[in-house]
This record gives sequence, structure tokens and C-alpha cells, in this order.
Amino acid sequence: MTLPVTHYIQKATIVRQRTLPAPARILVRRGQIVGTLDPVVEELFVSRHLLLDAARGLGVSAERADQLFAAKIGKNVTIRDLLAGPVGLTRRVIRAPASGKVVLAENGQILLELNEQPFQLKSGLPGEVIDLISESGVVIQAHGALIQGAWGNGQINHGEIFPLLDQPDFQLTPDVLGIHLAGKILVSGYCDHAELFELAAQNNIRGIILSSMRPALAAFALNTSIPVMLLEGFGRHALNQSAFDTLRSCEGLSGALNAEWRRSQFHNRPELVAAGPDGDTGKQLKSFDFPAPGNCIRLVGTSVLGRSARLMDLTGDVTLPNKLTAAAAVIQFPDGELVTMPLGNLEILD
Amino acid sequence: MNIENPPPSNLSLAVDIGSITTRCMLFDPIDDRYHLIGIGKAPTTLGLYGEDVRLGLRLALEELQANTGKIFLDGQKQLIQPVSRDGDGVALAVATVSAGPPLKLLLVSLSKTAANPILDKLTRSTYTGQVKSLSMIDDIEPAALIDAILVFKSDIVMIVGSTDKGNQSAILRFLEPVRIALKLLPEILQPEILFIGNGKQKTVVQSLFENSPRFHPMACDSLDLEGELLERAREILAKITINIRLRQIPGLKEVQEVVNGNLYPTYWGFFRALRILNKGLPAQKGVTGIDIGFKTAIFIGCYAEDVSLGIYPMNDWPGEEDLLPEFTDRLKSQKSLVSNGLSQESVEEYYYNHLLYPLSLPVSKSEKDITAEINRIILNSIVERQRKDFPVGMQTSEGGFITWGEPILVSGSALTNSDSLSQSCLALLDSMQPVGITTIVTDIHQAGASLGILASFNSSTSPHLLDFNLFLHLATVINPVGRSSTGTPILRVKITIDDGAECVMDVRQGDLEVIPLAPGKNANLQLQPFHRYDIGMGGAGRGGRVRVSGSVLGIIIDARGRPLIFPDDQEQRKASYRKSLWMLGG
Repeated sequence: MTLPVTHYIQKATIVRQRTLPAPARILVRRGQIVGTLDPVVEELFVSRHLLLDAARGLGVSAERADQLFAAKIGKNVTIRDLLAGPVGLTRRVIRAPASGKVVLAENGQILLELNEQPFQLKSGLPGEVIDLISESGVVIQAHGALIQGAWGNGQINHGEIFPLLDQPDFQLTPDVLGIHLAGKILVSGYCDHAELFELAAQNNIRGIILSSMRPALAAFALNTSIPVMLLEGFGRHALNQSAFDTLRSCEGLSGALNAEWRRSQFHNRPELVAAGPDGDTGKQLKSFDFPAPGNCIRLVGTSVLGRSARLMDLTGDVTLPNKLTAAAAVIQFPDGELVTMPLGNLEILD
Repeated sequence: MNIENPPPSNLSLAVDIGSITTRCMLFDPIDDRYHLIGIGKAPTTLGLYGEDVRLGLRLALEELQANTGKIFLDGQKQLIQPVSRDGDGVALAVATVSAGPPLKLLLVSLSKTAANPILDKLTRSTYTGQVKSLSMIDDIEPAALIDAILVFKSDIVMIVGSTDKGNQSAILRFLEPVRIALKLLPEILQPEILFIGNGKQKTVVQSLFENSPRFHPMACDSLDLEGELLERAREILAKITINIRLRQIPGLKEVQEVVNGNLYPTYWGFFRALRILNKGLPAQKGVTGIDIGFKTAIFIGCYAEDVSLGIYPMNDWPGEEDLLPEFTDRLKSQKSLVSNGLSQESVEEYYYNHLLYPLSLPVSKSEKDITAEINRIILNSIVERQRKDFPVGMQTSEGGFITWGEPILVSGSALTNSDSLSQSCLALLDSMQPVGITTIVTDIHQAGASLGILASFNSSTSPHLLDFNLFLHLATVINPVGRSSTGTPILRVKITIDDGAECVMDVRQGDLEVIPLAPGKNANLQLQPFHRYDIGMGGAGRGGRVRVSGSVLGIIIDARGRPLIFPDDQEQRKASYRKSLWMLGG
């Protein structure tokens, strides 16, 4: 059985695809250096339209109206531009009620695609565009530290990484926030205060990374404009030691926090990328791997979140203390304690 | 046996690409039974940083090969098909897929009256998530209609005709914005279009959409979709579902080629398995199938030609559109909990973390309890939704109870985990509240869907195709229905085991009793209800003889009453739950 790999790594080469599902316009070129918030792909498809019944407006049949169209398909028009006509003694015409592009002109009808800002996908990390995916997106490569999370609220931003915890089980409270933290990505432990996210946004804090929070706070995090990432999960859980050490070592570095999380379609995880030294390349990263004795692992599942250990042995199917039977492994905690844990509750740490 | 010419291998490979796990199962069909040779599993690698599902499939195949010692991958890790001269490879490969997001359905009704209730049946016949309904009675500006369709970006457009002849020009005027909107969509976003209606309307609709490569017309004179018509509509929907998944899921097209086109939605395999069971079993009581997966719950009832199919994608994440609000409401309500010592917040916390880590298993006893509680909440939610659509033949004339047929086939790891069987059984009894006599069978290897597909390649329609060696007989359940006060004896049971052992017991109203009868043993039951209790043997007060096979939990007599009424007081509710679970060996 393969296991997911979670990366808390100080030096890595990070390669990410940034794509849109619809046919898209690529906004950058191969070799271009992009920042975290730079748009790299733009949706081609806009969905606000205006339908004009030209035949009715001109008082003619649909076939006749088709002959009177002044604007061809694909033409950009501004407000009051002539679209059809003139016809009749009174020289009836149809003019554009708004600016846009003519996308349909048939059967006596004109459809205008209104000028709206299409959705643009941001880079999500600072790096170099190393490949283009036709009509879909780009591939970006970055170098630096990578810390992967478990859940995010979908926002993206960048700032100076600022650990606000001296212990892995530190609790973040709103009273420590202030304007002095503007421009920073806060790293902390557990959060139990719904107002914290809005307060952070008001103080121009660029992002929040937590070990965990109460499930009820998810709705508040989803509604805020700054990225929020959880490293462990929901409930009260301390940060695992490996993540704690890596994040402390990134203090002061410039970080890109991409809190996108789309479990329904892609298993992309929210991530923090801390800029590494120029020209420094690290190892290539795996998403899955076969577990083996000696692996550092982190535990997942509600009652064991926040703990890391070393894999000592793979046991095959065993019956656990709660009478569950599952493929398992023997793991050893830093204090020497040996425990048998289902493989499904382990992720390989890198 | 001539080793130079070994007998041809009939090994069949069944692949299932689930939301979380990709599973490969190797079967050997012998004497109309499919024997499971081995299983290989790997995480489904859908869209993970550029990977596609083929990685997970390859890993699962490698594990299967290692587990079975059989060779069916060549040097390039490609499936050997058909069987080679050396006897390597498989004779047949099929695949099922349940991975992928819930489908968005745009329902366009050409009727000027209220929506056809049949449509709800049809929308529940695939992995439908969000549904947007448009009708000719709606007063909406054409441009707004176009925008709504373009913003919604449906996967399926279902256009349903009306029962009257329909004003052609009115239909054309109404559908014109729909046609325009679909024309504007890029090729990759073009939905599948299913039309159901009479021949005249079909002509009109076809004139608008016939140039679409994804137009599926189904002409029918009546919109009372029952029997064959409903089956045909469901078949088209299954085909449409695969078309959509082939576009959505990277690598799936290549998987389809590997299995020579034998790719189906997982629910369709499960559905077929239930249909085969229903047709083949001598008792003709109907059958029920339940599959609780990570992202989808499926409920199927078959009685004669009447089939009820309900597929419920569950929330991917609370905060998005609530696809199963009954579940979310119950999850957030302390009143709904029955288990021992659980708080609503602990249940919610565990559920959300399980969404983040779907491979994780309950580690502690309390987590096991929470898992059972969540399963119970899911079951309650979908039973409530599906109850009104269940086949009439399975509904009792009095009390509005459902017999659920026999057997009740339970699939999905949520309910079939071997060490939570008592809890799963109790959750099933509490949610479904069957009446009469039935058996509960668990699909411990999640093989039901694959077998349902494989069976279509076998000319025999015997239910033995569904080898019961693959399924675990969990319990025989007897559920008396009647009225009397708690403590009153309502049923006398005399059991005579084949080895000669005998026992007589009287069951009292309010009790849950268990008579152990281990797998491999058989017995005769003599049942005599008192006080005109009905045990499904031909009417109130009628008893008789029943032949039963042994099972993991034995013979359960659930005399707690129908309908089941749980105490309002939480402590009493917990006590009642603990007592019932203890009786079932949990």
C-alpha cells in the first residue's frame, strides 16, 4: 500500500501546474519569472450576456433582420454603436445598449458578450514558467522550503513568515494581532476565535497558518480574504514537531501561501513556499511512496493529529486494540514508545 | 494435465476507481460462480500534481500481481489480454468508476404544469449533485436565462416534454435561449443533452440540438416512466455519466481502452447485481442494496419490475452547497446522537478530519463509536429521502412500513468493516426498521459492483453468479409488528439446529433478542406470534416454519416495536443504545 507524502522540507525544487478547466488564455511566456499574485492563466469564456431581439426592434422578419445586421460576429462594440438597420421610413436602428462583443447574430437576434473582467488564475508561488500547457495553463518551478497543509480556504497571498508560537501547542488569540504584523504571514498553533480572521485582514496581515482550529470556524475562514491554512486539521491539536522546526527555520523569509484546497476534484494541498537562495536546487518531490522502515511519519486521524514518529516495521494485517483489523505498522515516538498504527493513519514525512 | 498446453485461463479482472481507493480484483469463474482470487489496492491518483488515474491503477495491479503470484502484466507493465500461450494474462477485463465530482444537472421542463415527480427519480439515478430547474411556467428574460445556464455550466441538460401535445412555437421560443447558451459554451464544457418526450416534441427539440454530438433523444408517448422506459432512461444516463467522466478524469480514456470499452459507473454495477439477485432468488420478496462510500450513498430497492434507485453524493465540504441537508442538520444536532458519551462537537470534528484524511481509520473505541454514529446519521438521512420512492410491493398496507425484501445487501467500507459489524447492524436496524423476516448480507470485499458488470458477460442469470462466499451473511432478522405493552410476550420461537440441539424462547415486546447460530450451521425455526403480531408470514397472527442458515451475528429478533421510538432524554437514549449493542455482541 502506498502512503501520501507530506513535505516539510527546507530545500526543494517545487513544480506546480496552474491550469483552468475551460479553454484558457495563457498570460505568460516560457522562461518568464512570475510572482505569487501574478495572473498566469485567464478564462476565455465570459458568462454575462445581453440578448437583443433585432427583428422585433426593427419590425421586420427574422430573415430580413439578418440582412440588416451592421455588426459582424466577433466585433467589439461600444455603447450606442450601430448593430442593425436602418430600415423603414423612420430609419429604425438597433444600437448597442452596452459595450461588448457580438458573439451571435442570427435568426433576428444579436447576442452581446458584455465586457467583464474574466477570471484570472494567479501563479500561487514565485518562480519560473518552465512549460506551457496548450489552452489550459502553465507549469511553474520554484526553489525553496515547502510546507504542506491539510486544509485551506482557497485564498493566495505572500508576505514575511512570522512564527507566533514558542511551543507547538500555542493558542492564537485576537489580542496579539495588531498593525505591527502588517505584511506578515503568521504561523501559530490552535485557534478558537472566529473574529481572528477578519481582524487579521483589517490589520493587513497577509495570511494565517494554524496547526488546527474548531470546526465551526471553517465558515469564518472561508469568508475571509486572506489565506488561511491548517497544518493538522480540526479540533485542538498541536503542531507536529517536524513542521514546527521547519517553520521556525523559515522565520523572516518571504513566503507564498497558496491555501487552495479542492478535494473534490484534485487532491491539491494548500502550501507555503518560502523563497530559497538563488540558484539553489533541491530534490524532486514525490506525492506518494511505499512506506519502509526508517521513514519519518506523521499521524493523521482525529485522536493522533499533531504527532510524528518513526516507522519501525510493517506488520501486515493486525487486529488493533479497538478490535479493528487493518494493514498496520509499528511506529516509535521520540520518547521511545512503540505503537501499532493502521497504515491509513500514516503519512510519510519528507 | 498436459503442461505444454495448460487449460485456457478464464481469469477476469475487475477494476474499480473510487474516490479514494483504486481496487483491482481477480476472479476465476467456475461453474457459474466468480471466485475471488485476490485484491490489489492503491490510493486513487486523480489529478494529483499532474498525475492521472493510471498511476493508482498501475500500483493496484502490481499489488494484485504480487498478492496472487499470477502474471498478467507484461514487461512494460501493460495488462496481458487476452490470455497468452503461457497462460498469463486475463480473458476479460472490466472497470467501474465512481471517482469524480457530483454532476450538475440542468432540468428543462416543457410542461406548463407542476414538475413531474418522475423527474426526481431520474435525477437520483446518477451521481447528481446540484440541480437547476427551468420550466415554461417560469417568467425569465432570455438573456438572464442564457447567463444562468452559462454560469451554471451543467454536465447534463435533461429536457423533459409535456404530457400535452405542446405548442410548437412556444416550445421553440422557450428553448431558443437554451440553444444559444449551449452553443456559446466551449467544446470542453458542452453538456450531454437528454431529451425525454413524445415523438412530436422530439422532432422540435431535435431540430434545435441535433447538431450537438452529445444529444440523446428518448421518445416515449407517456412521461409515466415506469418499468422498461425508466430502465432505458437509466441506461442512457449511465452511458452519459461515463461520457462525462471520460472528459473529466485524466487517464480514464486510456483505462477504457485497456478494458476494451467495458467501463461503467460503479453504481450501475451495483444496480445490475441487485437486479440479478432480485430476478434469481426463489423467495421473490424483493431485495435492497445499500452502499455507503466516502462521497456517495446509494440505495436500491428491487421488487419484481419495480426498481427504486437513489444515488446521493454527499458534501465534499460543509460550506459548499449542501447536497444532503438532512445529514448536515442531523450532524449538527445533539438530539440526534444515540451513542455512548459522544458530544455533537466531537462527532463533527471527527467527520471533518475524516474528509481531510479519508484513508484514516478509527483508532480508539470512541472514534469507532463516532464512525458508527456518522454512519447511522447518513443512513437515517437517505432512508428518509428514499422511503417514498421505494417499490410499492415492499411497502406494507398498514403502518407505512417497508419490508426491504431479502436479502439486504450492504456494501461500502463504512458499513462492512469487519470489526464494526454489530454497530453497523444496529445502525441498519434502527434506520431502516425492517418488518417481517429478512437477512443482512455484507459485501466485505466491495465486489458487488464488479460482479454485476462481469455477470453481464455470462449467459447465466443465476444469482449464484454472485458467489455468496464473497459476501458475509451477517444476520437473519425477525421483526414482529403489532401493539401491546412493553414486557408482553409476543412471539414464541422454537429453534431446532441440524445437529439436534433445540431451544424454545418467548420474546417480549420491547426486547432485542439474539439466538446464536454460527456460519456453517443450519436450523429450522418454528415461529408463533401472539396477540395478532405480524411477522410477514401471510398476515397478522400467522406463524410458520422457516429454514435459516447460520450467520456472524446469528438470529436477531427485533421486538423493540415499529415504528422505533427513541427516548427524548439523551441518557435514556444512550442506555437503550448500549443495551441493544451489547445484545448484538458489540
